[in-house]
Amino acid sequence: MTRQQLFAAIGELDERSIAHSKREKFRSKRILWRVVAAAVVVVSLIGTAVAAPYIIGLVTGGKTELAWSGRTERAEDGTLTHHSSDQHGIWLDVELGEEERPIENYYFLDVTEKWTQVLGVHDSEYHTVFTWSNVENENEWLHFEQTAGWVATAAMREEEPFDLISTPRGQEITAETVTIGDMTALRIDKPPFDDGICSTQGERRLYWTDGTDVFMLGCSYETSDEEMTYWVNHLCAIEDITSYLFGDESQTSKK
Amino acid sequence: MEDQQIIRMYIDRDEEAIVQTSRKYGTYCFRIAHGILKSAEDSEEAVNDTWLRAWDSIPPSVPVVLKMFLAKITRNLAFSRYRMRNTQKRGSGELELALDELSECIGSGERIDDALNLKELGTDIRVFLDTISVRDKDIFIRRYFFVDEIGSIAHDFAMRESTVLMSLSRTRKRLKNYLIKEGYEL
Repeated sequence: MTRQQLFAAIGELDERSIAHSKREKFRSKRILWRVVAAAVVVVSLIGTAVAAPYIIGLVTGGKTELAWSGRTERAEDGTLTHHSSDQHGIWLDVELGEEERPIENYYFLDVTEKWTQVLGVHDSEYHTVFTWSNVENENEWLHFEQTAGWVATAAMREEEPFDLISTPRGQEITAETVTIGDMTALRIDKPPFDDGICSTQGERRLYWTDGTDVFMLGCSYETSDEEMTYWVNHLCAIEDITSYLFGDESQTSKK
Repeated sequence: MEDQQIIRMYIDRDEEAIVQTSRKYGTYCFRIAHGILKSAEDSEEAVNDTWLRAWDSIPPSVPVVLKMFLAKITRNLAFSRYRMRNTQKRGSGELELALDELSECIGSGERIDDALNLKELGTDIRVFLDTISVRDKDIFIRRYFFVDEIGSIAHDFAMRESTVLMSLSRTRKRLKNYLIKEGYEL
């Protein structure tokens, strides 16, 4: 079988399947979230109160010492041009095992009341994504992902970067290892950039692992070190992930 | 004009069907063809061939979703045209990236399997896609059916590009295992 034969066979998919993938509501949903963000905060607060009994404790397990050498590679170095010429790749040199295993212990951020959750996706038991928006400042956002370790390492074994940060050509980003409590994390800072042709909002990311899964916390560039530390310290293990999901049909895909 | 009216025209062999189809879906089909061919001239021809193919197909076929029925024809005609154009050398652009990615599903294979039944393989792929999450399935189709760019998929699904890439990587890996299990020689 050749790749062209495989591609041709994909062309035999039925109309219903391909129609579903092209529906417009993903985007419209996101716009809707922005519009109703203020109203959602009330629901979010209620949700937090309801969820509290399910929170079974802070994530002490997430604060293990890591033996990785996080490094970044620029698109111009050649490796990343496969996907885009304007990206940095972030390699997470951490061994977490090769066995296919779904996430066992789910985590969620216990944020303050100024944040409203705008996305909660559970992706096939291997990946969760949560996003919050600051109701007082819509430019400020917060993002938390958890990925089953074998997925992350599998991606690395394929010599693909685990994660990518899109940047305009010429923009510099910095990466350094930081210590938060007992935890070692890789911190990526992407400052705002505007050269008159391209412009991007800045952002900051923290990557770490508890030895089982890989975590990523992303936020606006203006976010202070104290705030990031606060969030890392306010990760909560949760028993019932479904209470925290909305915004994508795959939330119901738990098999 | 409503799709059902257009389909009725095809069934009644009313040539106005082609005019109406072209008016309603011409731009849409052109975009699909251009995503694969990256040539306005070739894309225009692929779209014109699409109308003829639709005319020949309906009846006996009756589209479930006319837009996707046409999308499928355009996509496959554009790909045939791409193959003719690139028989001697590798092409470039988004399709070539997508094909490179699909190589991961077939191991070392660049061996043409003459006995391969594409319809059966397509059916098996559909069965496989029904075993993964709705979102992974949609992302896979957007990338390998419509050849949409990663950035475009990420935008439409309100996701980061890396999340899309990870989803695709995971699905490719699973598809490969599935194809092996189904007895395909990779």
